[in-house]
Amino acid sequence: EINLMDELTLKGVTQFYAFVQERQKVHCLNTLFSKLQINQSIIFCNSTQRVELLAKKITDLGYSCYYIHAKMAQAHRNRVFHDFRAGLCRNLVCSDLFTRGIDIQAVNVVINFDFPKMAETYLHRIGRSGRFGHLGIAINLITYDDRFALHRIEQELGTEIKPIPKVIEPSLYVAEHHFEEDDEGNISK
Amino acid sequence: KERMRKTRDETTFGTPIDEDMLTTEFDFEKNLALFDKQAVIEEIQSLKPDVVRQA
Repeated sequence: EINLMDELTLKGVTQFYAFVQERQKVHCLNTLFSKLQINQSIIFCNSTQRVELLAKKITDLGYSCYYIHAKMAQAHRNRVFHDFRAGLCRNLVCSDLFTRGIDIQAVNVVINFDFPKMAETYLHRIGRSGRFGHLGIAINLITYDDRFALHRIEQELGTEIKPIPKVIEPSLYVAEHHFEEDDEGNISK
Repeated sequence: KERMRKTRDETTFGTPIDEDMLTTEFDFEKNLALFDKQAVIEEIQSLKPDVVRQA
């Protein structure tokens, strides 16, 4: 049996949490939108109902977004995902649909509007398949009720989710700030 | 359970978008200060033996 979790990596993805109350989540997201340098983002919710409610809020806030969830017809989902991948929209709100991680290079920010309960779900949302492993940030909105899941997921994935800093270093997720060192130690853009 | 879900959704999405939300930045630092992650983790770990015993 193929274990899909083995194909995914958190390498290159810097993970942060913001502590919020449930009623502060929309405000928090609005601030993230205004402060982050988003090339493309995916925002995860824990139910189809919440995907639709959040997509409407994001539109009301003045940002464009697409949304997909499991209750939409497959053909419709494919179309929306295709258009998102083609860069027709900056933000995608969705529930858990990805089983092999996000393979869209342009996505540099993933936001867990709702923190997942399971480590596998977290990895599917945040992880990148090896061949596309590249820089990005994941921001988790954590409520007090999420504390057990936060601890469990960190333990099970052997990873650390750090408190969101005052300023997020662009080199962590913005392509033009990404400097790579080649074999000879030279630094190039 | 359905009612709980609805109440949660109303809590999350029920607040109207007003000028204040649009113009005031969410205060990440102030809110992070309300959550001592290390202390919370230690508390969870201290509960673990009981959970195992119950299981």
